[in-house]
Amino acid sequence: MFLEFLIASLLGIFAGIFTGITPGIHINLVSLLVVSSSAYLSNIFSLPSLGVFIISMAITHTFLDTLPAIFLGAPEAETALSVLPGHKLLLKGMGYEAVKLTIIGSFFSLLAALFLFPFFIFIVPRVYDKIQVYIGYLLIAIIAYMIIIEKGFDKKFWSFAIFMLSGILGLIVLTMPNLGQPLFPLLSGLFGISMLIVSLMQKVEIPKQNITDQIRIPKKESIKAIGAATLTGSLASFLPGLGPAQVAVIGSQIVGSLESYAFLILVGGINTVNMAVSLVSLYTIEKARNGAVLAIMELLHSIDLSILLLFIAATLFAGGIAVFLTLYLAKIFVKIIEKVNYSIMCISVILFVTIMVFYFSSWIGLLILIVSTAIGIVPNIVNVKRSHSMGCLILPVILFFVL
Amino acid sequence: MEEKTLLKIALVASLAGLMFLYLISSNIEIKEKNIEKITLENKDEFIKLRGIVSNLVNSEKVAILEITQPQEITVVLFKNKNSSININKGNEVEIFGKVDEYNGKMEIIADRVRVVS
Repeated sequence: MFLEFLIASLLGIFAGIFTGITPGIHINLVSLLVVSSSAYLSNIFSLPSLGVFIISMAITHTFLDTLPAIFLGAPEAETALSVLPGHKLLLKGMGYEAVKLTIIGSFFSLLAALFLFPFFIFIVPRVYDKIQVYIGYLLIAIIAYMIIIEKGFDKKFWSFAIFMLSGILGLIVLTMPNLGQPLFPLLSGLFGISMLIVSLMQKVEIPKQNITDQIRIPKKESIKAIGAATLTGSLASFLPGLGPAQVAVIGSQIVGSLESYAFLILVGGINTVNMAVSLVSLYTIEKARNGAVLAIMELLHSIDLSILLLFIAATLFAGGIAVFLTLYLAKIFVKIIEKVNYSIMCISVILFVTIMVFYFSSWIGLLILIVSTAIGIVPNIVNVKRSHSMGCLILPVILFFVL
Repeated sequence: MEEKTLLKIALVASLAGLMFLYLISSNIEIKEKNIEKITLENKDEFIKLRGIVSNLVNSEKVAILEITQPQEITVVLFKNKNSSININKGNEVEIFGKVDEYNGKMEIIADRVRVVS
């Protein structure tokens, strides 16, 4: 059995590399493939092994998906907020260090979450029903606070306008029937392509990238970011409607103003913790809060303690390996980004994302991409935080809970 | 944090995960059920069982299998999920599915069927 689990985990890590570094290819897609071909795959692997494959892939993916977000400006929902601080560091020649910060967040938050698993197992079934009543109001308060702290009436107005515009767009896109991969064009436009277009217009040049150990974050800041990532990432893993993207906004406000370095730790951590702790939700309340765990639920229906421990072992193994893989691949990304002309690279990424959007979501996806890109450029023009564009995911959640 | 320290901790974590995987794997036991022990109390329970296909009625959308252990139970398999499996009379199969009751008799609504031999 051990060899089978090990092979399944290694194959999962390999799949996680592929999904992590390829914009537009999400783990949900591979998880769906595993479920739909499980009748055939179960001739080769046992069902728990397929679960080990999925969880290893998902954990590896959460480490590696920052690479396209930071180097190419092609994020997913979980990494959308890391694009801007990551890109800022890239323009200072510190793209590698930006990746390293997200890895520190992912890895240490994962260790903290695994350490807290017994606590989560105790607390999740007890608070699950009680806390979800307040989510909508908590989000309203946080968004109001984010808008109020912008300086001057103009900035407050634009922040509100951007939040509402992206929120309404999100509502339209997420309720659109028969639309494949709705988040891909939406988030690529708001956070990725809009930023690449701004870079092209400003004729940004990527400086020589340094593979260094320069960034020093005070321990207190790091612990604050890792603590916030563990807390909010675990909230996202069992509360309906809340994903890593929404709780990143909550987390950054709860812990107060984090500098961009610590913010990258926070975003990296939330993503990984959400994936790991969602196994607790499956074990305790038998609910799946993301595509990967839903696939495991489809395969195994429910999991007992021994299967949970098996998945924890796979999580720890994959998490450790993913640190090496991400740092190694980040060095390759650095070499590539130094060699290619940045303008050509931006245009290539825009074309690639556009083709992928057309492939997954057809003409309607292209329309969403154009509209979301237009909205995504506004924060840059009016000089307000790009995180207001997260309204695309937060407004639908607020309405879900409040109405 | 220095990269070397990060990598050292990551190495220790992955080795711990590997060791944990080894220790857990010997305790992973997928509980198999005997047909004689399937009662009304098990209704809606997800179980696994093994047996020989003693009879098979095949239609376009559903296959009804009689599984012998030597006790018999009816297994209903909807083909949309499992259409790629070829099952024949005499095959030894492993079934994952939910216990149900039909006309006072226990049966399994199969989620997937794996031909063992």
